[in-house]
Amino acid sequence: MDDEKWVVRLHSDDIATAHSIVYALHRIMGMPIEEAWKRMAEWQERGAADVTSFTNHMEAENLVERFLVFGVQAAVVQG
Amino acid sequence: MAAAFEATRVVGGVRLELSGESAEALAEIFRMLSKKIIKGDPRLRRRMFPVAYDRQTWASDFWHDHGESMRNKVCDALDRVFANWPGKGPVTLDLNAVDDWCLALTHAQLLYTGRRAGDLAQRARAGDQAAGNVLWLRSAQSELLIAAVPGLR
Repeated sequence: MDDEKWVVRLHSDDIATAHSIVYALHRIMGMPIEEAWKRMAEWQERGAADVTSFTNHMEAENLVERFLVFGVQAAVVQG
Repeated sequence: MAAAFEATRVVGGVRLELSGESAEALAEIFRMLSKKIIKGDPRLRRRMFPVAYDRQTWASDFWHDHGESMRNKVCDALDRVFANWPGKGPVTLDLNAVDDWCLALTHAQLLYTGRRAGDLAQRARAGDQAAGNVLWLRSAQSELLIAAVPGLR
């Protein structure tokens, strides 16, 4: 499954809020708040936002696990 | 549920103050969440941890590899919430404790609704108590996070 690009995608739903998404991006990925607001806006407008990618799918899965534990709907997508 | 959940930024974190009624209700919700996770409630599990891949076999593999770890991490967070807060009185949280409360308040909403909840405000106005609980939990979470990180306001 490796030697490919594995994208971590956050999906919007009716549970997560703008605040919880910005906070999760900041705390889990260390993303600066200003950048996290931009990603959140994309998440809100498009219904999903790609936040990073890996060449190793396990790294993508580990990050998705962290978002899911936080309550944020996340998935691994082949890029 | 009364809207008595106040979060104030203090040195080193956030101070939470809840009315007696709100604290009692929230503690009961967190206990119920913990019990249902430990019991392995399948509906709650699907709500908390939606499929991580479109392809079913990969989604199953993901659950096999990460499911127990995710359940344990949420339960550990709930245990830490109660270790620091006996279900009454004010509590001061550092950022790691804010993480625990944040995820607990999100997953607690999933006791009452799926991730496609529709217009919760309308449902609450029509007398849907579950929708009212979700909105209250969401509002508490936003208040907590805004107090925790100044840039969130």
